[in-house]
Amino acid sequence: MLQSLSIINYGPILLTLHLATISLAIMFMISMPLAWWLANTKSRLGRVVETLTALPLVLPPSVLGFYLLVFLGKGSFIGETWTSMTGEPLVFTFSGLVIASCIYSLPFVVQPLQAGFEALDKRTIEASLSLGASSLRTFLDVMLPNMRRSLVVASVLGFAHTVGEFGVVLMVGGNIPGETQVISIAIYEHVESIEYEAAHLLSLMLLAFSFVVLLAVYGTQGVKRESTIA
Amino acid sequence: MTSLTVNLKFRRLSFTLNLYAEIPGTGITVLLGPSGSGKTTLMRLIAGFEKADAGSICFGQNTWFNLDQGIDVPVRKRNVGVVFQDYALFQNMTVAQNIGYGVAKKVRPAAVTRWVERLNLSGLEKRYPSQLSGGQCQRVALARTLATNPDLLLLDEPFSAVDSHLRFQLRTQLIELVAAIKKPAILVTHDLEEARQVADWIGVITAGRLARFGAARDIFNDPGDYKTATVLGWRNLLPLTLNQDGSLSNFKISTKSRLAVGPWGQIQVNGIPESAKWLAIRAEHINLKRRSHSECALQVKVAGFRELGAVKELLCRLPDSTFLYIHCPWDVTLPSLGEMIMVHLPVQHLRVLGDEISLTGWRLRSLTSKDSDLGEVHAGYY
Repeated sequence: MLQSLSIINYGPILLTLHLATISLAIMFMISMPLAWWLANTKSRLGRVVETLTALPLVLPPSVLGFYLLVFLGKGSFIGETWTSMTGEPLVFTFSGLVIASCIYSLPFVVQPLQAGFEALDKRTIEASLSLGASSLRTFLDVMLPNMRRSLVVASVLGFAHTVGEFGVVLMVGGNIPGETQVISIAIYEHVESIEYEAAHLLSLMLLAFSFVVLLAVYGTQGVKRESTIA
Repeated sequence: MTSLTVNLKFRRLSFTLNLYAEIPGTGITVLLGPSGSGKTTLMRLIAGFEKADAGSICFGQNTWFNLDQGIDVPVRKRNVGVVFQDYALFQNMTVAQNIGYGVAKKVRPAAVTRWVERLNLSGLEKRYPSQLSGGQCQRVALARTLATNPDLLLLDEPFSAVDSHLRFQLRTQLIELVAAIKKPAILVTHDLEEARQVADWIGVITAGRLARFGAARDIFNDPGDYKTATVLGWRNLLPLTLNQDGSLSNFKISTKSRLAVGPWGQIQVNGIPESAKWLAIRAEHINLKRRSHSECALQVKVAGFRELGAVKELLCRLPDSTFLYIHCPWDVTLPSLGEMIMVHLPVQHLRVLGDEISLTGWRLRSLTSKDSDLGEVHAGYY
């Protein structure tokens, strides 16, 4: 067993965790105000933005990856601006991978948060404000604690989905060891090189990780159900 | 005494609120009206949860809202205390944390102790809202609001989610608290019993307009117009046709049934406007037995009855099929179904109403002593 573990290259695992952590942090920064707005707006623009945010759920990863390649690649406005600012291209780099991951996994963070905001008792927010609390205090002391389950689900799903993505990563990041080679790409490469043992170990790790993630999500739902019944 | 002046226009898809009101700076003002009339919207506008399309809100010398001047003081700076129908307690906080939420840290422990004792919440400080009964939740909500020492208290149907046997007790507690803090309170409700118990002032809102405003006793005693009367629970509203001379000798309750006062006795009503449309009397004021000379008697047919707890309701039909509702004590022996009986309407309790609010204050005078010598004012079929 130990001998088997020694054949694993831990670089892709660490890179994946690094990517998922950074992406999740960025997604939360974007998703919090976006989800709040989507939960409260009645405008048609809100429904358009909601649809755009949910697009990665139904688009084939290759399609999304292709368009990201077009819009972030050499010759594109975003790509050229980034290059002029940092001296590096966006595609086939870790930075490009982060942007692609954020876009691809965004609905998995936005939607639970939006549901959480929608489920909040608006009266408690109004009560807090009428008691003299600032908007920030109301957000931290009243809103966030009452949407803990949504925060857990958004974190777990956003992180897990970034860990497991393949198509978009391959299109935008390619397969550069130490730079863009994440676990799913590493498994693909092991299979192509007929290194089934290494592929097997990495796949088992992802399988176990996915199981734990789903267990965590359903676990919080179970707790919610019990507390509701009680 | 700091009064609240509200002059607002607020329009949404199917609803328009357009009213002017001066709410006294003392006691409890009850905003009464049917569902969808705009009373809760008005309260939310005053609190600052909603923004009006035009107008102003002034509390004493302070302008909270004035669209023309670009003034819109945020909710948290208006220092209003709001008590919600469903309590709106913070579920993640204990009773003590809820009560102390709006209080400055330095004085928080003392304020919590004071209001816990004041509202009989001792021993519950460490419990969460989910571990409390409805009555306890409402007392926590009241304590949380009062702990901030608000300038104005706003209560949105505060006792509607509480068991009926607790309501009376909570209302009594509210009256005492408002008297003690010496700040004005506005309570929104559609519950007449609640309004009767707590109101110093009544504002009747119908279809986004303030139909009546005044001292509770006056408003309950004399609704003035048809809509207000229905909101205030006047069940007997009989269509009325007056003669041009304003005398009642020939006035009709309806086309077939004449309330014939006759030449021998007149109930003088000086200057009743032609717009008088309704004769009104409360169900509890109609008697099955004659009690004085100052009564009109009507012959009616018993059409039904039902138990209403403390009273029995007798449903009687006038010849033109108009119904009269009569509330009798629970121990009275009721006539049989279909029986023709005489019922007695004390003149001092009769009111003349218009369709609009212009008839406020009109009421039938009691018979004069001279008139009363003439005997009972009688009605029947002619």
